[in-house]
Amino acid sequence: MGRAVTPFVFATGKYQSGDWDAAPLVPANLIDSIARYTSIAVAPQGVVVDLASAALFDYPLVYCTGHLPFRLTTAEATTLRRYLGRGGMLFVDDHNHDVGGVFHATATEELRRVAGPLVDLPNTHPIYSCFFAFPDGPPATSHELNGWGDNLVHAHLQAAFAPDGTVSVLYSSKDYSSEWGYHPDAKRFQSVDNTRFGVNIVVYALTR
Amino acid sequence: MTALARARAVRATLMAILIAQALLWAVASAIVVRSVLGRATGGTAALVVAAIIGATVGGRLLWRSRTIGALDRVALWVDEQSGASSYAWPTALDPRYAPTLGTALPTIARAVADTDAGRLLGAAAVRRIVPAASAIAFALVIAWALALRPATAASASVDPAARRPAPRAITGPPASRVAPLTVQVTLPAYALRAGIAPGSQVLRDPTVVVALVGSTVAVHGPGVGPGVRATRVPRASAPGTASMTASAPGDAPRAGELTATPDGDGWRVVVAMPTAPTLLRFDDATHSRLLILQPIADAPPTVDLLAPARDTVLRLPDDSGARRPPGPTVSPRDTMTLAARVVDDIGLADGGFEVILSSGEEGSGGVQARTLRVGATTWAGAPRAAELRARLALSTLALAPGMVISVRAVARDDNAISGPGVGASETRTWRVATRHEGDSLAIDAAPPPPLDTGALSQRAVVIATRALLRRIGHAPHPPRDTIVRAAGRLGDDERTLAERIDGVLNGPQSGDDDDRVAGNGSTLPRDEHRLLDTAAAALGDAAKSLAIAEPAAALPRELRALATLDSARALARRLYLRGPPPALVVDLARVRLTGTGIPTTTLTVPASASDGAARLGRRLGAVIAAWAALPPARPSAPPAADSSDRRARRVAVIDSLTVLRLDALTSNAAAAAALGDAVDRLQAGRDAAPALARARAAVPITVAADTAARAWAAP
Repeated sequence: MGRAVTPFVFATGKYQSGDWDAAPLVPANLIDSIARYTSIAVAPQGVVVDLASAALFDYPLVYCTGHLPFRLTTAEATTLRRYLGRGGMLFVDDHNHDVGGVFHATATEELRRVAGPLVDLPNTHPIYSCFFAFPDGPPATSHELNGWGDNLVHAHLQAAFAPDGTVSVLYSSKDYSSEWGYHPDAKRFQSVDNTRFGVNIVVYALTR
Repeated sequence: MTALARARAVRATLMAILIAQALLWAVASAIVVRSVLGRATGGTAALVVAAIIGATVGGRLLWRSRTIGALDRVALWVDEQSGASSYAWPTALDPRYAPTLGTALPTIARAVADTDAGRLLGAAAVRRIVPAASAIAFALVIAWALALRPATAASASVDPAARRPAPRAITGPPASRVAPLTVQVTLPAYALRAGIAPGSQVLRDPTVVVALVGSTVAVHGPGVGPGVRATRVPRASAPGTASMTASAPGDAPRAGELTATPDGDGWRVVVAMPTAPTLLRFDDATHSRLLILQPIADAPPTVDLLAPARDTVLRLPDDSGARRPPGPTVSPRDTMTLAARVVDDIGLADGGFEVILSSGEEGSGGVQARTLRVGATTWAGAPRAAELRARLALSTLALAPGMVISVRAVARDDNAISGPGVGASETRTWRVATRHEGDSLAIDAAPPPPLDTGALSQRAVVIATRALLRRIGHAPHPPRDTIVRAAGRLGDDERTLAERIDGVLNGPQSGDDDDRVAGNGSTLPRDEHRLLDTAAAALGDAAKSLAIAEPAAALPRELRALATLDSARALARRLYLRGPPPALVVDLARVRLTGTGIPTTTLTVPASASDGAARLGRRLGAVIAAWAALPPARPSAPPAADSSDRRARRVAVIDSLTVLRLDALTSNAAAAAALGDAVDRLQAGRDAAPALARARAAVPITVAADTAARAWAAP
């Protein structure tokens, strides 16, 4: 007996503290890229899911970003811990691109609390080759190259791992939320689509 | 010494030799019997049987030698053993012959005197005692050899453990040294400090030990001797759990093993309650015993932030005289009251408030932040409930427009084993309004107004009309029908535009402003209304000309309509509002696979579900099948009365269910509870079907995933 194909739905995590909705164009842009490059069945519109809600378990990948403090309530931490323990994947991007910033400080602390230690993800990790090849690791963003934020070009993403060795939390200080925050139709003005790494994240989340 | 006196002395010595011989054989036989039966039937029974058999053997030997009490028999024995065969001893001792001996008497007396009785007795002692002593040595060898052999149901031993009561069915046949187990659980020191009672409890032969993480779990088993040790082995099938193999003190431990230590008349293994469910397996030769350690995690404190009660926007006093929107205005001299209620399951250690002040925004210097700790409190005596209170002077915060104050309460428990557990409340956010915040509205963007779209459409109609006129003026001329159809379509467009302009002129809203046209429902200013009225009339005229296929006559009217529409747009007052962007719905059909990037791979098959639900279901199905295949039990018979085959298969099913329960503890609590009930029922010899049915229902039925999204069990 088979089961009907369920489209992948891009979910943005909503948390009580801070500004969870700081990058509203990223979901549509990544959905566009998924359709543009893959045959993955994908819903044409993303959803917003409360991190404390049981609806979180309906989505294999949840994206969170923000500039302000990222503090999880007890309910959010409990649900998120169960979500990650059951195979969910969380992608958190620091919209401040600042390792000295408040989002980074609070988010990394909260993520360690719910998912264990965050370690540098080797640039040979399958997430960099599962669809498009990124031999040098995570692609740099224009914000890094322009010297904004912490004035660093981060060589690695960070990750927390599930017991089976797969990535359960992917943490970025590179501000992909700014890099990918534009209308999908504007891709035609780019010589190289900078959302291709987002496709890798989705493909990795679905096939790991 | 007379012959009679010598005969009596020889008799006494012979009796001593025979008694010694009987005793030695009795002891030897008893040793053998005790060695053989002792390990299988328990110490007391084997000892009684050995004593009876030893007494029988010894008594039998004494009975056979009972005639040695008679002196004539002693005399005959001496005469025979001396080899003389002169009957000197019987003759000398029998009084009936005394009157008839006469001169022979001295000769007989001399023959008796010359007999070396000591030599004869020595030889007899060697013949009788040495074999018996050898038998004892042989029996000891047998006993030693049997002691080294693994215990079996048919073997015997002098092990004190044999005095233990019969074990339960799960632990195998009797005489096992891994059953029954006694488990003493002692809470960790920090829980004892907090006054959690009872601090220690003793469990008799449990299947599951449920205790706080870090508790001391001392497992005591009966029987001493080599063969019991313990090992912790990670369970790959269920991440987060572990198994431990145990077998008797005395053996050299293998790598990673926990060695059991002798403890009184048994052995003892002490472990700390781990953080993940752990399986202990105790092995003693053919006996085995499973024991699950189910930890209870010390929950972090639950923190409720009572004050501030809600998020809010603060407004700083403004001396500019500008009109301020309504809302609470604060003074830097004000204070913020902070209060929180903290509850913990064991005991609290300390707590306080965390205040994060952030300001700035991306694109204008970035977000800056600093963190303050306020109202730090340390509780003595590890109370289970406490309150946090503090006052935060706003003057210390250097409030500025745009600043965000994030407040939460944080508390730590007294867990010194796996903690401390940190609990935090929800975060309240106080935002300081920016200076011009009340001057803008955040609303959804409206679609382009009808005037804009109308002007654009009219411009398109003008272009199309000019194109039609060019086609008419150049050879080859299009047929009349073609001109009529094209002009008709343009006329329809003009009529549609006229209707839209009319909608603008007669909108649903009414206005009371004297500067607006009243009575016809329009809210447009008078000048704008007049222009649109003119445009609508020109559009109607153009439509009429196009309807009769006269585009040349329609074009001036179209241009007049376009000019008046543009004039009306120029008069329109516009507010450009910035709100949340519209929800984008990607046109998947349009963009599907239009990308030009070159992937490294072709996505084919998504991963199958890896949450363990499918594996749990498969394993449960296999165990249920094994349970269903059990041979039928005799009606009303206890589990101990099972046949050896049924008992072995039932124990296998129980062990499988126990391990399955361990793996389900972390992922499916309902299934774990049902499996535990099934184990209890099987151990008690009751029907396990209802419990297995509940377990089956609790495990979601899964199939191979063919979904684009990775699937896993519902929460």
